[in-house]
Amino acid sequence: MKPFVEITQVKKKIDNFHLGPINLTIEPGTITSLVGNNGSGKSTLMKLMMNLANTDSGSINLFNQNVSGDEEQWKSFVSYQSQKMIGWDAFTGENLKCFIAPLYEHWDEQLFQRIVEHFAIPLNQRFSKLSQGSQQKLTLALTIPRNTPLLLLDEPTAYLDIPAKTHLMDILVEWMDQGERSIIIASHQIEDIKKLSDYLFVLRNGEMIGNFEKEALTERYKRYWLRSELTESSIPGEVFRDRVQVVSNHPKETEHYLQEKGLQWTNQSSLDLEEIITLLLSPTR
Amino acid sequence: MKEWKQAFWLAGTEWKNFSKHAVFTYTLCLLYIVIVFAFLPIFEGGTTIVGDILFIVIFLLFPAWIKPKESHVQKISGEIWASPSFIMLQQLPIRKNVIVKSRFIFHSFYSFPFQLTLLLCLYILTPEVRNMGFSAYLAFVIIWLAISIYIGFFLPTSDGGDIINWKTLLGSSLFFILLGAAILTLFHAVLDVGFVEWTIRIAQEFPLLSAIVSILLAACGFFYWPRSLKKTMEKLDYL
Amino acid sequence: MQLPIHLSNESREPIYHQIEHQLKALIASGHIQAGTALPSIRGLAKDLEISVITIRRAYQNLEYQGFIETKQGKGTFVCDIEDALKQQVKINSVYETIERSIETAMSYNYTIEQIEEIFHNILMSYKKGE
Repeated sequence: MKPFVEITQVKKKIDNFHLGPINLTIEPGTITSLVGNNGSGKSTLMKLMMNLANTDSGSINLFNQNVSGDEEQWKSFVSYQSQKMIGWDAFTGENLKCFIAPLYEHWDEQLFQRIVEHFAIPLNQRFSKLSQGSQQKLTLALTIPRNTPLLLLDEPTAYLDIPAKTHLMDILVEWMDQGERSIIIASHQIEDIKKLSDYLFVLRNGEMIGNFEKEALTERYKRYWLRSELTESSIPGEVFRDRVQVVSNHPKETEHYLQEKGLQWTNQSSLDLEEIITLLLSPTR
Repeated sequence: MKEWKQAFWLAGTEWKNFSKHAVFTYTLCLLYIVIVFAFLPIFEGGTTIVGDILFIVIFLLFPAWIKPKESHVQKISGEIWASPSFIMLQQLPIRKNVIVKSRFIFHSFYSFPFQLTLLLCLYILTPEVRNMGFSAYLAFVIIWLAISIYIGFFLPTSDGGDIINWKTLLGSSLFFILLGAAILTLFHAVLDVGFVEWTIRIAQEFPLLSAIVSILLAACGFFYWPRSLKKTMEKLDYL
Repeated sequence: MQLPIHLSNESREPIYHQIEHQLKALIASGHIQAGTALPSIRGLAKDLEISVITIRRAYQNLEYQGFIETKQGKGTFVCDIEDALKQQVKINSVYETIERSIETAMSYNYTIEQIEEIFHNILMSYKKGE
């Protein structure tokens, strides 16, 4: 199976902001979270993938087609939900569906109706008249049933209430189970990242920190409580220190070093994904 | 052909959504036309500069005004200004060529019916036009519908957007105002004839030639503007 | 269906191993009957907040050992396993649990004799309880 997405050495400069170089491959059947602080370039990356902007260098291939090339079939294999749906304001939900559904070969009307019913979305109101939460619900109802192999969601849950968030996850899990599909989701919601993602693609101020498998990341970080404060300025693997507490992202090296020096630790624990993300995104790493 | 069909479907679906709005603004525009041409004697004794400006503005810009505000160029983000409808289409699985075509079709749904009505009203309401004779009037209509293409199609082309800040805005508006003023002054001061009056005259004197030249120019516009829009679309970063 | 699986990040046992063991125990003890449909890999990944890569690994191991089977397009089901295998799993899990408590005791620097005494005390209290 060929990868759905292949991003190679992509760079983009916008005023003083530099994105990249980005390398990312998305395999079928995976969910990847784009994780990064505000303004780290997550939305820009998605827009580059949708060919809504041009890259300065590097290439983006979706379904084996260069997105900025003349071939445009790849567009039929991707559904994109941007943070703000531009141009939807004057349409009612019903009219938007009339516009969008016929453009997708595998549109799932039943799923659309189910989501609309569950979220109680009024289809006869103009998009602009809906609350932010309802707008987001309607957008999801008009995006997921497109049934394209690849789904790009840019902060889809920012305005959703708690039950809706839970329900959305069930919908996405069910949706993923129906075939060779993949999701790329940009989110600041730790629940989305924990429950949905297989991979975390981490961006910090436009710089690619890495694409990590979730467990590989949680297994890599360990926290040690030492008997006494360290005198060394820095020890192997160390990424954070607070008095007798040391966090390492190379536990083996750290433990080896501590044992060699005869330093004992009273306790050790793993880190929460939230803490790990915070460490990855903190500027003084 | 398939591209045209899909483009028509897109423009039609979009138009249907705004049909109520269109009927309302269309009626309002008709009212303007009747008032301007029936009660303001702008064509009496050859067109004046004010008459020219009034007619050209109504003819070329009213169609844009009838269009729903969602299709008007507006601020999208930062310095990017574009038509929201255009942005919406770009995020759907539609070929660039089809998006481009649909913008011109959508514009034509508003421009041509309105402009034809305007030219018809002119025939009914102003004696100068009524007295031209049928073939001359036909040439006159062709001249103006061609203008609607080779100049008026600038409007749907602008849907694709641009980077706009006060400098570029000031620059381009100054450019267009000066260009317009220069052309009108040329007609009035050098040829001693109003622009609209001049089109009436050439339609009368060279109906066939003026019609053919107009059609050629329209063909140029018909090919030039969509290409220009596609280029904008490929060049601009919609971030 | 939510499975009563509890994962520990602190354990030295890899996550996929923990899932595999706990599922085996649930099947051998009869908590999950033969023929029961297990959650999809993606569904379990969501519930346990683990990537599908890890879940798939656990499922593949279980399938290889004959505890579960995947029917194309239908899902994953619990197999009817032999009593001998059930006993084996039960014994293994008991051994493992006790071994783990001994490891804990040893990490607190108790001697084998002291641990023996603790075990003896606990067993005695159970006997009295009857």
